[in-house]
Amino acid sequence: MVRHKKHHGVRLRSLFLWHRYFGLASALFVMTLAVSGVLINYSDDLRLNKRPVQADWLLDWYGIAAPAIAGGYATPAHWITQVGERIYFDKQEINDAVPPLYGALQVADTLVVAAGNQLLLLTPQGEMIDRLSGLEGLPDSVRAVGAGGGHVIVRTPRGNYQGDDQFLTWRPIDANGVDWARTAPLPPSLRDALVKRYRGADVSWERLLLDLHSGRLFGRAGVAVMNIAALLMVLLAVSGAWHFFKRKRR
Amino acid sequence: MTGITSNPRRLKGAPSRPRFYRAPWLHGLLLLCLLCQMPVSWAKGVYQAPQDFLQEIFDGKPPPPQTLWITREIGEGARAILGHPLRLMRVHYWTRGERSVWILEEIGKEQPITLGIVIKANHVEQMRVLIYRESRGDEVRQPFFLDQFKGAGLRDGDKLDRAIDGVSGATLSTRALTKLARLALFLDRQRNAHGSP
Repeated sequence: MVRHKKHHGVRLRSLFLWHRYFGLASALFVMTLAVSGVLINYSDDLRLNKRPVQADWLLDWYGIAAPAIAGGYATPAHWITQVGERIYFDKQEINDAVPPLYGALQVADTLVVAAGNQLLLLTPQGEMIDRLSGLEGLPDSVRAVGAGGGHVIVRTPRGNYQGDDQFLTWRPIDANGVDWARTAPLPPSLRDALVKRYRGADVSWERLLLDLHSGRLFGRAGVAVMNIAALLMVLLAVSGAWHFFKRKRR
Repeated sequence: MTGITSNPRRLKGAPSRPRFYRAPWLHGLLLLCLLCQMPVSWAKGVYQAPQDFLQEIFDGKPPPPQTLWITREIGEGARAILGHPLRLMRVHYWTRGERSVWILEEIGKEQPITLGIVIKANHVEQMRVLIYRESRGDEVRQPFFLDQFKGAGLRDGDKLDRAIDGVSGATLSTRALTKLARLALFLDRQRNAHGSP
């Protein structure tokens, strides 16, 4: 009987020891999962999905590089620039703009941006006035935009067209005297800001937390480690419960 | 067995089949080329090009586009319907006789849905999903859903005068289309009030 009790005590101590090891091994992961999980739960309130990650080392870790920026189109007070598949008004992405960017200029108080198969009209503050396509009478395949005689002129493979004041009627014209929009080197500060903005656009803090929570931040190995951590937590719960009930019975 | 080669289907001395028939990879290549030649629009969920929609509605001769400037009052009304600002300072429409056609966009879940709406005498005459860019939920383009809007008008609060049964699994698209129907009716009323053609 004494022997049995002694044997039972050794088993219990052993179990307690394993429980402590499980706890120690999973402590870091429990903290990571708990903190990231709570933050993810409040992601909308904290607007984490709207906050881009800006830390260079994290973006490097994700392998996100900005494409080379050839230059931009300068208007009297702003720059229109294409970076990769995005088009920016200064540092602000123009959501409805589809690349490639063919040109941008300001005529009177309207910024005219030729991009994709559209002509975007913006206020000098960057607010969208209108988006014109073939549906509204814009000639097909605009490849350049310029100004002449106070009018906007677009160049297409079939010739040049001059728009009316509303940009809804286009008539063919000769290209003489047209000042075509040309790219110019960006100011270094704007270029650096655009590179940063572009790189951070696809990785929000919510994305980062989700990847940390699942372990995907560290690739397949990270997911495997998180799975092992989850298993450890299950063992921790089982060994803890076992230990509790065994002690209670004694 | 005389006259039969090791291939029982091939007669000895018969002219060999052209290389094309003997090379399955060529068939695959041809199929790939054919797929590449298919209109890109299908791959992108363009069910009908907006231009084609206008051609159809106006019997092949669409009128020139008209412009409705979004004043503060109209902007506030549009915002109340959409739940966000209109993001454009002018909107185009096409009109002849009593009919006006509006081609509007609203985001379903993540991508904009392009909708063609025909309004006649302050009621929806026809609605058609022209471009659907979301990966799921395109059941909303089916007539069984869109026909619910036929004859719909606006009641107080710029709400539709009827309930629209949603499509399960396409709740956000249903919501987006309902908003666009309300917006088209609202804008049509505004153009009439402002004496536009």
